[in-house]
Amino acid sequence: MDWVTLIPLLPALAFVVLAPLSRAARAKLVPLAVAAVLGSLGLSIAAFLAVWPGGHGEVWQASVTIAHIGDRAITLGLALEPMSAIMLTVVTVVGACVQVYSLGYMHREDRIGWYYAVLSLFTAAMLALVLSDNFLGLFMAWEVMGLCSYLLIGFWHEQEAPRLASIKAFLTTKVGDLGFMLALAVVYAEAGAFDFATVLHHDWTAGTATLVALLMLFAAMGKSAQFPLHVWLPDAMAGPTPASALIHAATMVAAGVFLVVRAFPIFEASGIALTITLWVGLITALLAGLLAMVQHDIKKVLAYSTISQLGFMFIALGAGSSTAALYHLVTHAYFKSLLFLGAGVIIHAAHTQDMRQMGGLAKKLPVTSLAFASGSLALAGIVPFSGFWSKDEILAVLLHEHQYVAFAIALLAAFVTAFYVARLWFRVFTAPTQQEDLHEGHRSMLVPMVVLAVITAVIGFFGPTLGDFLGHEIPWPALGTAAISTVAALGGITLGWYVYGRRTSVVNTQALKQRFPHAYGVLANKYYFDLTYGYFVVGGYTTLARALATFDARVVDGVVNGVAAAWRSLSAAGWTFDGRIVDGAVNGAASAVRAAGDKVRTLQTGSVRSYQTLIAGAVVLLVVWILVKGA
Amino acid sequence: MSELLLLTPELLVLFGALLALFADKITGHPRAAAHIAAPLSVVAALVAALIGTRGGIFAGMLALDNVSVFARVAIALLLAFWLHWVSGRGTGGERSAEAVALAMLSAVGGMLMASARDLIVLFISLELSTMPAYVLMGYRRGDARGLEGALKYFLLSMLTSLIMLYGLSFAYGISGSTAYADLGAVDAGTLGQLAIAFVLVGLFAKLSAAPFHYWTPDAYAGAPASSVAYVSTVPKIAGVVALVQLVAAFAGNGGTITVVLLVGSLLSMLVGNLAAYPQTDLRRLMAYSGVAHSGYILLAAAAGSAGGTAAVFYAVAYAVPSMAIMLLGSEEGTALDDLAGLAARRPAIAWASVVWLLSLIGIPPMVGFFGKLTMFTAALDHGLVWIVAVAVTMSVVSAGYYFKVLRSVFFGERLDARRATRSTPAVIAYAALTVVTLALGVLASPVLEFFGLRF
Amino acid sequence: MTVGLPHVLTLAALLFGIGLYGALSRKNAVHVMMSLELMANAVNLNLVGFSRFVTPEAMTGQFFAVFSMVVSAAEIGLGLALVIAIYRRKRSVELDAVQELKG
Repeated sequence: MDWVTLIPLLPALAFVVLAPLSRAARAKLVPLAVAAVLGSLGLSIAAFLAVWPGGHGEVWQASVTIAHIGDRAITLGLALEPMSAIMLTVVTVVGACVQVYSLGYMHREDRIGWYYAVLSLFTAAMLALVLSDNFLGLFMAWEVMGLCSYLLIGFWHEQEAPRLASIKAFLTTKVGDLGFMLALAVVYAEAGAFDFATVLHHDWTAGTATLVALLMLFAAMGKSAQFPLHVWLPDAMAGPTPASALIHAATMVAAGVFLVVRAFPIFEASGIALTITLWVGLITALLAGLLAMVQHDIKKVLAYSTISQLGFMFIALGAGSSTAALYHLVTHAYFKSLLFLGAGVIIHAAHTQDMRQMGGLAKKLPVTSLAFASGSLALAGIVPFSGFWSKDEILAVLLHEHQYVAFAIALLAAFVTAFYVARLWFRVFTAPTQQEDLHEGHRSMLVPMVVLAVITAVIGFFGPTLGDFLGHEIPWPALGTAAISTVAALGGITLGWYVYGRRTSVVNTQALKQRFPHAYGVLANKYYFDLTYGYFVVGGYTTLARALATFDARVVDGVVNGVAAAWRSLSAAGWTFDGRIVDGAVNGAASAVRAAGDKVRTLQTGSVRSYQTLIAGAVVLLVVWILVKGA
Repeated sequence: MSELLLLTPELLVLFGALLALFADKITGHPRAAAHIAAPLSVVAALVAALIGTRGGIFAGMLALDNVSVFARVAIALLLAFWLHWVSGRGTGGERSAEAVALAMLSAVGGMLMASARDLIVLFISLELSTMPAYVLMGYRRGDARGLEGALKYFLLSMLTSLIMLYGLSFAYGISGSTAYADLGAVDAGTLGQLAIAFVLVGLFAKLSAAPFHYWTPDAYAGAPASSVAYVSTVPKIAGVVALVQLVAAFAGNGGTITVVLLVGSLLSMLVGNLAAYPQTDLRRLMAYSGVAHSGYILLAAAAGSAGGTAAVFYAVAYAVPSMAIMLLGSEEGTALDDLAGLAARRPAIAWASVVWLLSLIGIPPMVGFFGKLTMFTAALDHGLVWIVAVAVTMSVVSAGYYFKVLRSVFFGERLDARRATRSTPAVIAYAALTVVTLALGVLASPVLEFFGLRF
Repeated sequence: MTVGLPHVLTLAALLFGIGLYGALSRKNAVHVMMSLELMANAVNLNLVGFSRFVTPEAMTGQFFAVFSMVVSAAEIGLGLALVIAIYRRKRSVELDAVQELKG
């Protein structure tokens, strides 16, 4: 069974071969990368069959010791069990589709070789992440994925927006990663190991479990773009669309959910952490859904939709069902990557990402529109497309746990989802045609989409099978919840059709804007989150070099003024529902680091005599301490 | 005689230094002596160090164990890279033969310090590794800033090393011997604790750990970046080995030594990472980053023998990318703005700098990650959970200022496209340092096995 | 009264303290170096004292002191060279004249 190691190793080797080569040589070897991921796909299916029919623990495990710390060994290992087998197939299927699709989508790029190299490294890391049998390996893969995400978002680094977006993404997720690292520290201090078997079977006290769970939740929120760490994902759309499909829709962003699923026993030992997870998910699902309603950039709609759907997975986790979360993760990976690939074709055809300049694409792009329809219906939650089944399972879990408020919010989010799906669909595909010379995508782009569309259409019927495979139960939907959720979805679609789908008007956004000026403004400005974040956090990092070029006392004034200005705006702005408290905290943290840095610098006066005095002072303190303490 | 054979690497480097200094007087080819013969002798020393027989010398005043051999190889390797870079670029002044000789003499001191088992040897080798560094820092005779930095370095370093020497004299007085093996007797009594504290003061200053780091930013900021590349890395490795071995030798005294190390660690992490944040000069930024990394190292040094070995490994993990960045700064200019547009001008070097900086942040699979992992797990094994939490947090804060460097590299254009000269040896040095940064991270276990190191 | 180890140590500590005070209080670089030299001599006294009273037959401390003297001589030579170079640039050896580098 050691061939399982090859699953992550093949794409990794593709990276190792491609990376050091020249640009031209890399471009020639692109088929190698595709072959590697197809090889991984084949092996993943074999691995899946080896685990079949599932319902039991690991069937294969291998590990290496990377270091001995005292008498403890730090190991890294891979393990094949039902959950990793499912994730393997998801990652390799989507990965293979994206790589084949990119052959067409990226063929005009002269740095296509580098693109494929990074994509391969990413795939390798994601496969290693799902196979890892311990938290340390999971973390390492997690970091490498963050790195690849950074490289791919900034792929067009000669342009300003991707460069800024890549740094924003890296630093925002890095803040989340801090949670992961601290969690690892506590886990190792408490359980003395990193591997799942030891850590998850450790006898966790409620307090420690809550600490670890909340730290991991924070990490997951950063990676899975949950409120309030969601700000990086919409900007990440500056990267190539197929890369977004793989990384920012199907796999990497789901790693946060996957982490919580892996660590679920710790969450269950805590209880409080589950409640917080639930509410993070609810807030995110609803807020991001509302934001998706007002975006004009087709990729941004999908980005906010991804955030919202990841929120649904957190809802499932918070309600205590890791199986439902995993189920939604799987279906979402397929239909959302499908939607992104479709968006890529649309962008190529229309030469714009602005939906206001699209329309009537259904006739021009028949295959794409059919595939897109499959994905859209799945996202909206219409039976029998995949999203219906998994979303229904989440709603059912909420009802079963008597979380009625949560159920209502989730249902509202589902309604909003259906609305923005309808808005997107009607605007892009059925609204009056605005461009004439539109062409369907290349075959290499259509085939992967069709594959994903078919999977999206049929996978829902295998829910119970999936449940058996995982050793948990996924029942067929109860008629009641199914009816309620279908009504919500149809209601959203109908409303969307009513606003955007009728042939009478091209775009009546203006009318909406006039009727609801305040609400629209808040939504269109993304609750002012990005503005404040961009200004205080990422802006704090990225504009630092420029802002501090003429560093002198003025900067200190600047910080003081900045804080004062922030407070002024804080009190003046009055109540809008954009989470001023978060802004205040974030603002405070950023300026605190800067102010502290400036404070520390003032010790460095430049005078040797003051240094000598400080050193002598420290020595005297040391002497006094020892004398007072005694032997 | 066979004992002396163990010192072959040191003797070869010493021989090379003398060649660099005097061979031109005989042959009339200064370049050949300093840039070919001297580096070759270092390569020979590296090979000799790699063969690395273990054993004691001079009745146990020097001893080569696995850690010493590892440190000696690392020092020789980094020295070789540095010399190779210098052979193409020269140093701040024209008298590069002297710079070569000074760096090699300092390396001899460092290599001896790594295997010192006696306080007298420790003191002499410490001074031997430090004194050439003063000269390297003030290497441009006409540059007032460089001289200022060197003077500060000199005065503060002399002050702290005298305090250390005072401590050493008490350590000798209490134990009645200067051998490390007998130092366990120094643990009891207030005077012994004072002695240990004084010794630590000197080593802290050597490692530029807070609150004895004040010389570092000023000396670095005044010095030629090529000198900083050497002084900030190679002597530090030796200093960490000496610290770790002394801590082990004083081991009887758990309480005091641990508290001093942890307080120093905490201060260094905070001061280094926070003060690095607003810097705009690469040398100053790396000076504070060095303070911060010393903080992590002190944390590991407080965590028993596993932590000590991890600290030595991390000193190397820090030195490799750090040297690379300073060398690049020497070539491109040390203001962060000087690096602007590097990605457009020299894409390969720009991507190499990504590897170096990510290693310093501690991102896998670079060596910095493995180093931090082993240090922090060792510290966790000693129950130092909270201070590890601080260290982890501060290492995330550090991403902010390292990214400032990356931002310069990838953003903007530099207006004056001066300094078009590129030297092949420099590029080879960057490539080698990048390969080591990656390979030591990926292949850490086999490398550790080769040297017989266990945490 | 016979001179014992405590007397030597006390004298050395006083010398060390005076040297330290001088190093902290003097503004002239040469004076500071002289004070540092005083501290070095205090340490040497310590070493010789310990050698005499703790290990009278091994003379370890005396060796140590000799090495220490050689090292500090070299060090002071280097320091004076630096001070002279600075004097040539600034026409001053006041420490307060060299504080361009800071922050």
